[in-house]
Amino acid sequence: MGKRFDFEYIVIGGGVAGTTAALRLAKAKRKVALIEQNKWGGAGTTSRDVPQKALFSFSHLYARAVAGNRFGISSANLRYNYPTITHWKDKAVENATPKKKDLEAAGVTCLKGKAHFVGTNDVAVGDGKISASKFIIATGAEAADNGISGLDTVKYYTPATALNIERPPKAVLVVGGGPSGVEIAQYYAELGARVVIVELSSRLLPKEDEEVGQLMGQFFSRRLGIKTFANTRVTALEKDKNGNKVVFMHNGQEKSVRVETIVLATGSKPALDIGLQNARVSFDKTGLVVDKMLQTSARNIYGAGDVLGGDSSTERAMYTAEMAVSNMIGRTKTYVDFSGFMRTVDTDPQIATVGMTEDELAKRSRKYKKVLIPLSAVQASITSDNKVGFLKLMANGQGHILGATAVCPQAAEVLQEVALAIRHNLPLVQMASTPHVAGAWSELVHVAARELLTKK
Amino acid sequence: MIRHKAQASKDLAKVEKIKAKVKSKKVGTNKFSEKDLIKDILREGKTIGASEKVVEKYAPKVAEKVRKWVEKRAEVTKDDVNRMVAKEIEKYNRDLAFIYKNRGKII
Repeated sequence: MGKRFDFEYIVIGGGVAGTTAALRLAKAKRKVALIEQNKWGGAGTTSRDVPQKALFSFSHLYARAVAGNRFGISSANLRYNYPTITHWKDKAVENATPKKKDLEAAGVTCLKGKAHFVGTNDVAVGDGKISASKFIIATGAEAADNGISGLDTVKYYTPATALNIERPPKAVLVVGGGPSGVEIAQYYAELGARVVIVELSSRLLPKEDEEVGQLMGQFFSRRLGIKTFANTRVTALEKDKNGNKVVFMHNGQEKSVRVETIVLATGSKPALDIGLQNARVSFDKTGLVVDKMLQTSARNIYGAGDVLGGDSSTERAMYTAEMAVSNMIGRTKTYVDFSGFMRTVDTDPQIATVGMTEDELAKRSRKYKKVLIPLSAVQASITSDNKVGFLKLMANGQGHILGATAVCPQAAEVLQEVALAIRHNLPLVQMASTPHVAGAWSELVHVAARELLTKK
Repeated sequence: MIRHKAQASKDLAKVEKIKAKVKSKKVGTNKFSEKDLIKDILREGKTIGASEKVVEKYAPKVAEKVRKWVEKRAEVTKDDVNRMVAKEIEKYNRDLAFIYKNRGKII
């Protein structure tokens, strides 16, 4: 007779991936427990995607209204009420967050506490220990170590906490020019703050192609007055009687600046400190080590969500959770396929990337042809007076799309058909021959596809 | 219908029992002691010939960090504690960190 366990499945982590997996298992009539140490819904729902999108939609709208005089909008007396906006954000989070009672009604046993493996089938949580036959690790990500000294002496914000401010600050230093950093920087600048971004690499958004970082740096500087210091490393934060001081190395010289508010957007790392060694689960600094079916080195344990490393997004977390569950309970196993997943930055203009970037293609010495279409090439740019941005499309010699980057309004929607083409290997000629609405931003894709087809 | 209700209430009772078990006190475990850990670090420091005065300075800091880490968890293994000690001690003495990393292993 086999060993009796408290549960058939335990899911560790109540974020997007964890709740998706737990609900799927409960729907399949499995006995499942879900363990979460903080808020149900995880960081993605409670402190990242949902509150950010809610607040950014306000700040972008406000900034456009302030700049609306060219349309005849008078913005001299335009004001905003910040408590009302934060209330709106809190409401959005409340509506999007899964409730414990709903999870329990669906058949998931919810347990609060920090989970820690003490064996291959045992997890310590709360004040005791529970056991299961199989596990899904969906612990997400946490703030990465950044080597900055003085963090315990100075009050600072992270992208998760920066939106919980009571009133917009007057001066902000954002450490980190990646997606989170530029989003937060633009948000504060649109509310009227003086913003400085400090970035370790040579440009903003170093993971994207060079044109993206350069364009956004210029746009931020001209339209919003945001200053960027690239090739700069923050070494220390200090507090004295005059306020907060940030010490940094720029071009080999040590400099310092006083700021009211500091936001550390120095990236995240997978949350792996849950006793994985006790469960014989392999991991490295990039994340949980899993095979193509999301199974770890321990046969009864799978992984899902941001803990796997790689790009982070809600849809990717949901997909990996669904795949992990399907591979655990299904008769046939399926490899994960991440082609067609997009990377987005919620600035205005939005930035979206799907497939490979030009830098990645060059690193792999892959042959490709590309076109770069400026926004001014389509009607939507003329009618809405949006001129900042472009769409870059790359394909191989056989006419299959390798990747695309868009910097434009609704960039994610614009690139959705490119994602479809990449995932299902649709040739460029089909995209070029499909009618697109004139005056819609998707016309950019049509123009790019047609030009790329004729390019040798 | 009556059978389903009876089964549902049995399942609910089982779940409540498990939740109570999670809340129950640990059995067969030892309580973590910061003082014992400091003594252990000093003892191991002596075996590798590290300066006693120097070890006395950082041992309490390491033990405090480990205690804070342990407190966040319901239960940890001895190997977990050794790994955590090794991680914190590495900033001060790599040889001592090696001892803790390889405790219980045949080298």
